[in-house]
Amino acid sequence: MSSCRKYLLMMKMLIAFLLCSVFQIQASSLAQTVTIHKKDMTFVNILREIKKQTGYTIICSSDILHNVKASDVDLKNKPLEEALELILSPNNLGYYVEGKSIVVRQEKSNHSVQTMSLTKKPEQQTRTIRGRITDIGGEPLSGISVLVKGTTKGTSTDSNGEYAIDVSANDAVLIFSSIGFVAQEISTVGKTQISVVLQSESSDIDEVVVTALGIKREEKSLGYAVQKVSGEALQTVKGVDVVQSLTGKTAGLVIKNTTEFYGNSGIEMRGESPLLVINGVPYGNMSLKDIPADEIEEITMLKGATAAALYGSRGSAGAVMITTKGGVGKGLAIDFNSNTMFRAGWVAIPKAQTSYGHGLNGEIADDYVWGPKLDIGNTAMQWNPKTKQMEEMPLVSSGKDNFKNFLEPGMISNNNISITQTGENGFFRSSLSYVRDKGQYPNQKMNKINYSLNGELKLGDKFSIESQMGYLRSAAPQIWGGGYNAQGYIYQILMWSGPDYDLRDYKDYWVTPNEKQNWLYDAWYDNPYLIAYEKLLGLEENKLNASLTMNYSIQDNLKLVFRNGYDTYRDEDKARNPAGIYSDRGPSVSGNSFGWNGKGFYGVNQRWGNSINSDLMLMYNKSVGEFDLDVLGGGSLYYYQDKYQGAKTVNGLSVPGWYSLANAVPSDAPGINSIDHMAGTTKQQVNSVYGKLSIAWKDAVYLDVTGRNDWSSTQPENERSYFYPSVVGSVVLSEFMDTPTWLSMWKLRGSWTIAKSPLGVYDSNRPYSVSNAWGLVSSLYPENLIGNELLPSETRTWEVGTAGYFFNKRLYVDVAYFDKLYYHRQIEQDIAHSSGFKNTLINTKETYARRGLEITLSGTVLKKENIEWNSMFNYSYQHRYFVDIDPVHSKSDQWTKPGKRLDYYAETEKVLRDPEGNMIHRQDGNVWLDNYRRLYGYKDPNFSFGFTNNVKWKDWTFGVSIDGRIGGLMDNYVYGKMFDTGSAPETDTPERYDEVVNGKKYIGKGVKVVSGSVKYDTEGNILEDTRQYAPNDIPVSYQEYTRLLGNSWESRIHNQSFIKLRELSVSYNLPSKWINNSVIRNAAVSLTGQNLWLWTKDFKYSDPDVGDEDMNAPSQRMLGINLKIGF
Amino acid sequence: MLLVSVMGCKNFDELNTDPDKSLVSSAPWLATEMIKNITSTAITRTKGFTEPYQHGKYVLFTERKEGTQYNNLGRASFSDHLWTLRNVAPMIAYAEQLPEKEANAYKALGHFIRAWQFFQLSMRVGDIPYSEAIQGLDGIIKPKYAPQKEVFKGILDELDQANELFAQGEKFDGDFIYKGNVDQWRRLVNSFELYVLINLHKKVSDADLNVVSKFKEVAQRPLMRNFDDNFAVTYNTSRGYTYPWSNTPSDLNNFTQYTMLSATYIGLLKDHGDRRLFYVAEPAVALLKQGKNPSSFDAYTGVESSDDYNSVVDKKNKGEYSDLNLRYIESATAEPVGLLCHWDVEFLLAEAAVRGWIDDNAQEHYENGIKSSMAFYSHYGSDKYNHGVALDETYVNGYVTAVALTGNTENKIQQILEQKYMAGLFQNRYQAWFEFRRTGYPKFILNPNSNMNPTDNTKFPTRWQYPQNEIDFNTDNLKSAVQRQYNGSDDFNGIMWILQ
Repeated sequence: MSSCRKYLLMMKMLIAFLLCSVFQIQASSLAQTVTIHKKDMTFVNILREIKKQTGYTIICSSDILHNVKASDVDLKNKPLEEALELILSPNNLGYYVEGKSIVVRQEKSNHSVQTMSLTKKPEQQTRTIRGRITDIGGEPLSGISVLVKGTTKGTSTDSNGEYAIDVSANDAVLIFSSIGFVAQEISTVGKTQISVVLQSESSDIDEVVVTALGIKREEKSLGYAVQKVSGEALQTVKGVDVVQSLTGKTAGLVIKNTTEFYGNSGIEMRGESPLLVINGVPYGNMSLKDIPADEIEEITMLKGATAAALYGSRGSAGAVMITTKGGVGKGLAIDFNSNTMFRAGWVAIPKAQTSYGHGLNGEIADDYVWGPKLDIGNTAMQWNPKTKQMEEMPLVSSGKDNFKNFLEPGMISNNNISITQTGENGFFRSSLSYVRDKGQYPNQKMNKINYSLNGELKLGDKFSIESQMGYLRSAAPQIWGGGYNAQGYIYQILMWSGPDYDLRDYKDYWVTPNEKQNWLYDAWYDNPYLIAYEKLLGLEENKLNASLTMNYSIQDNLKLVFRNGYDTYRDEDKARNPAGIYSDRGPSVSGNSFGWNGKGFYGVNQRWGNSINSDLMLMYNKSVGEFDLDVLGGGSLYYYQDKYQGAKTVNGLSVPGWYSLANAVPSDAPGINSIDHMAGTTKQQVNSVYGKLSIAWKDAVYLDVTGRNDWSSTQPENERSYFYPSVVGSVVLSEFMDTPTWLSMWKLRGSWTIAKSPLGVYDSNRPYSVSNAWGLVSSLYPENLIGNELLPSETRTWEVGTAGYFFNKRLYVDVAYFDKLYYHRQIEQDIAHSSGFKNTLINTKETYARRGLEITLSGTVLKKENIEWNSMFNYSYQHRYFVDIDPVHSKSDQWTKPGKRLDYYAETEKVLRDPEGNMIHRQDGNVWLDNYRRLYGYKDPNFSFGFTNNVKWKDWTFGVSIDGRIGGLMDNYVYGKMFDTGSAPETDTPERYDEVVNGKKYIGKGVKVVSGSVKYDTEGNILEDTRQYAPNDIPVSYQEYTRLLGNSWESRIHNQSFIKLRELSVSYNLPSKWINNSVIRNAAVSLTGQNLWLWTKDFKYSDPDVGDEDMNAPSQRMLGINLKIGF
Repeated sequence: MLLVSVMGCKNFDELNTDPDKSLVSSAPWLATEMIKNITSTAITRTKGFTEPYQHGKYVLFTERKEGTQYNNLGRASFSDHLWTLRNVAPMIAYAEQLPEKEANAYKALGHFIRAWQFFQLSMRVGDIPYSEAIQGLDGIIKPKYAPQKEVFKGILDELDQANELFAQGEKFDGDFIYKGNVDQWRRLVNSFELYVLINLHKKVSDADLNVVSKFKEVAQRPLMRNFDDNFAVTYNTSRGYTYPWSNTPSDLNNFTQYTMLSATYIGLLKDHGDRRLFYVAEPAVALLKQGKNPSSFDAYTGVESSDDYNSVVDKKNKGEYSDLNLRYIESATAEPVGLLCHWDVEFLLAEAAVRGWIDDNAQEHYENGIKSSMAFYSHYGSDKYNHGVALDETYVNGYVTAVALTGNTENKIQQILEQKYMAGLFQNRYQAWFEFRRTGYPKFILNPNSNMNPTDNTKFPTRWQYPQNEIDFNTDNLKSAVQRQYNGSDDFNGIMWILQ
């Protein structure tokens, strides 16, 4: 354990460092002097500098700000008052001090300093106007200047955002302003109460973002791409969780939205799965869908490995940082937010032909939908669901709408109520969310309760504690019914049974309860209502997460932070089915397979586990001349364990309908179990130390260097310790140049990062697989080989980017390009099976790079008196390319070559074509499908984009977001498979009619081979080709031809391009004059819509947004109403 | 300091050891794994179970136009055949700790399983890695291909060793086929060696191999005596252990609706007035409707496997076919599925006698083979399923006389192979197809208009293609093997060495 000892030593050194620093760092008093030495510094920046150096909030109306020219300033250790005098007086400005604020104002008289008191005696006929100023998040804004227009009279808000001002004129107008906020003018006519919500200036330059480890930093200092999504953007249109609402909101974040009930959507940042961090804690078991929309204050996307460098390997794909809501204003606030949406049609739903019944060759049979023509007066022996016996009945298309008839209106209701008490020394917040998802198939219902508590306590000036806790319970009695292989509803109803029976007649699904179902088939398919109510896979999930953060300011510039996060979960999966089922391809939950059984089945599995993540950090900052220095050192421990244990019946149930392990049928074969047991344990621990040094020069040039060393339990002992660094820089170019008026800020940034990932849990083990066979123990020697000296996988990312604000911050542009090289990859490399083994775990020399571009444009399109239109557009792509090939281990196919893309889509079954491109037909009249794999194209989209708009007009707010992914190939399974089964609407052709009704054959368009042959090498390259062709004239069954061609890769591999109208909302905020005198703080009612409209290039029957196609559930259009009230 | 104590040196090695997985094994456990792999796993269940018999023209399958029925062999799987062999070395290492006689049995088993698997694979593709195969642990991840002749020599050598070691062995654990009976294993080894040798009948002049004298030698060793010696899996009613084609609530088999029996198979049975027909088939529904009696031969009809798919489905719709006997579907324990059976050995000896390799009476072995097969049907079939036609002793004795070997050598060989074929429904997997490839019997019909041989619809394919995995990861060795055997083209119609 030498590496572990080294780790201990380093931890001790770190702690020694922490302790020493406390005593060595000298106290420095609050800087009441100002040093500014800059040429051509804008007035705003001068004020900011003063603010930074003195701690005073500086309040200034934007009129003033924008009318003052830049000036040269040369101040060295000037007392504040003197400095202000020097800066302001040349511009004919004065100031007064109000608590911790300096209010700058236009000076009329010559005496420059005037202290104004609120206790000044009121003049005759004055009224006192009172109110509270908050930001859009409801946070009180202190130090906001409140001026009576056209006078010098003014005040500013206190720490609770409250103000009181006396006005004399009846038509007086108040101006509310502050740096960084859009000033507002409001008439006082008829009012004594004016509360205002100030909008921050769009894309404020001083934007503060939450970076790795929860450290808040100014955005301009960052050398990597970040993007924020405000919680507010997720709190009007609320689906089951926030995942769908995040789609298209961030360049580089691609969400593949599932349409399945209780499904999981794919969340990919730059093509990989990002780390989720909640209030600084990278929990092991929390996922985005576990966080109620209403709890989110803000989400910051840290894109790529650099941004998350301090999270180590877990952050190597970037991080989604969530900050939950904290205190609101002062005192008590109660907020209620409810959104309920109902299905209003579908944007994609599979359809089937309605002309032909089930069977093959135009005859009724127990399989396929290539049966007889319906509705032409024929009859056949068929199952009568009412009399429950076979009868001669007319062949009619009574089940044209079977699938739609089976569907039930989906409904999602997402509700939250929160109570926050905020005081001087912190806040306490308690929030309850309740989500109900009524799925579109019968018996699909999910209830999710999320209860969270969080609070902050300030103990004096130096010490604060923040804590957050959340409990989540979600449960659904039935989640089965999706997918092809799982024999879900689309498989049952649309794919494999015809339109010749009316499904509604089968709601009474028993002939003999728990033993025999009422159904027309006796293989493969089950009565869908029986599946919905009897063949159940139910889940119950419980999750608890808690965090504690302690901040201790040892000195003004030295802070100690301890943060601990813990989560634990306990889930239970239950599966059961009655005897007499036919669709028996069983479910698997979290890798544990159940297995339906024709003799009845019951299985239960419990999964539980926990994770702990602790960080201890010391942060120090110091200004040296024009340099600002930030140093951070810390250590962390991450440990998790996952366990499961379950059991299932093997040989069916003795008593029909009693679902219990106690009811298992004993096995009659010796040594063979009647109950199968499943169990497993996974554990990992990673210890780390890390450090970061940030240097800022003149607030314009920034450099960060980080380093992290990990010790992972999964690595072999010799390679257990590994170190990885990053370097990040950014330059605010606009600080160094003559900026034209249209350029507000422009920066360049660049970064370079190494990230290392250890082996997976147990990867370095080579255990035997032990199982039972024929009543004996059977043990299998491991199929994997393991190389020596396994180093962690490495990635090297470099990223360059630029960001700028233009036209007085009306437009923001951010461009990032990255190149991530994957090397030293530990992979389970496939090897020749003749070696006796499947794969070998090695650090391959095969490397590949992921390269991508992200562009974000955002800004205010229109801003007039009553209207403001903000818009954001983003574009991104990422593609992977081979860089080096391992001369020994790499696959030697024609696509695994340097410079070629990794996501190639190569399959067999391309239709062979003659030199003119005609399809070649075989002797049997069918198309000739290639036996060798050929390139169809690439799987990853060419690019994805998002377009979000928000228009405020008087008390109305309109929100629209559109997104899409363009290009990339996907297997359109539902489309192709319907050609095989005969249910595809495209097969309802004159040719089919001719064959079924008139017995006519079909001749495929193209050519046939009349002589010669073709010879291929092992890879399928043509060695010699002497084929001669003639027009095809070979008759074939249309059914046979269509099944083969329609369900081939050639016909099924489709372009997945789509554009979607993701969300729409129309909100009406109750005007403040209506609610001014009530207890209601704010209220709004909105019409909301999600998943409203879809354009696809190739996909007809399902939504390609899902990211793959496996009989995807219909994609529901949801419309509803949102209600928000705050007290 | 608190953090340090928490983060202290927990035993990382212990953390990263799966508590539910075993790092040790035993000879019996590994033996069970391998025996399972080459028997019950290889036999496969449901649709996969029928595939060899589709290639062998016993069964038609109407689910779709199946490559298995229409002569598209596809690619062979090296993993199916070779992976299990990595268990041999650890099994023998564990066996070394056992008493010598028991250890001998495991060593013999190891040789047999290697010989069995290499043979199955070489029969499919031709040259395969042999001397360098299964040595990934020693760093050979790109084994060279051995010429088929070397492979066969190795197989024969390993079988000789297995015979000797079993002879010096005693009952061993982990065997669910013969319950560790080394005598039965030895009989299997030698019977199998005869089968390997008969596949070399075109190589009798090869001095290295000495096929004939080897056959003579092996024929003197203990061989299978009756169907109890069959290398066969016996099923039970527990889920996962039922008869592979059965469709019972324990193990549903939704594929049973797609089968039909072939004209080749039904035709042979009917031509010979063979009562096994009533044990293997159901009468055609259409013929019953015409008033035919289920106990009469003319109630049964086969469908030609090479007929175009559409017309086959038409016959299915009209009931103009005989399906599989219901016992295969309704009974979870229908019958043991053999991989090498006693009757095969008798037919091999008969063939060798006809070819003049041994001096035995060909007719006697031929009769033994037929009787053994009929005894098997009689034992596992029941009155419930035989449509009232029993394989009684009088009938059997009459039958063997009626079908006695006659005519020239070629005719006798045809008779032997046809009898072997008739005994082979749902037994021996690909043996019937291999025997057809070797001898041309029984005669299968080639229909270029339906043939799905991917490269030449005027031929029956003769081999599987090499697997994609070898093309991708053992490229150079594979390419040189393809070059020396098939002139660079890994084609379905290449003629491997044993067939030349």
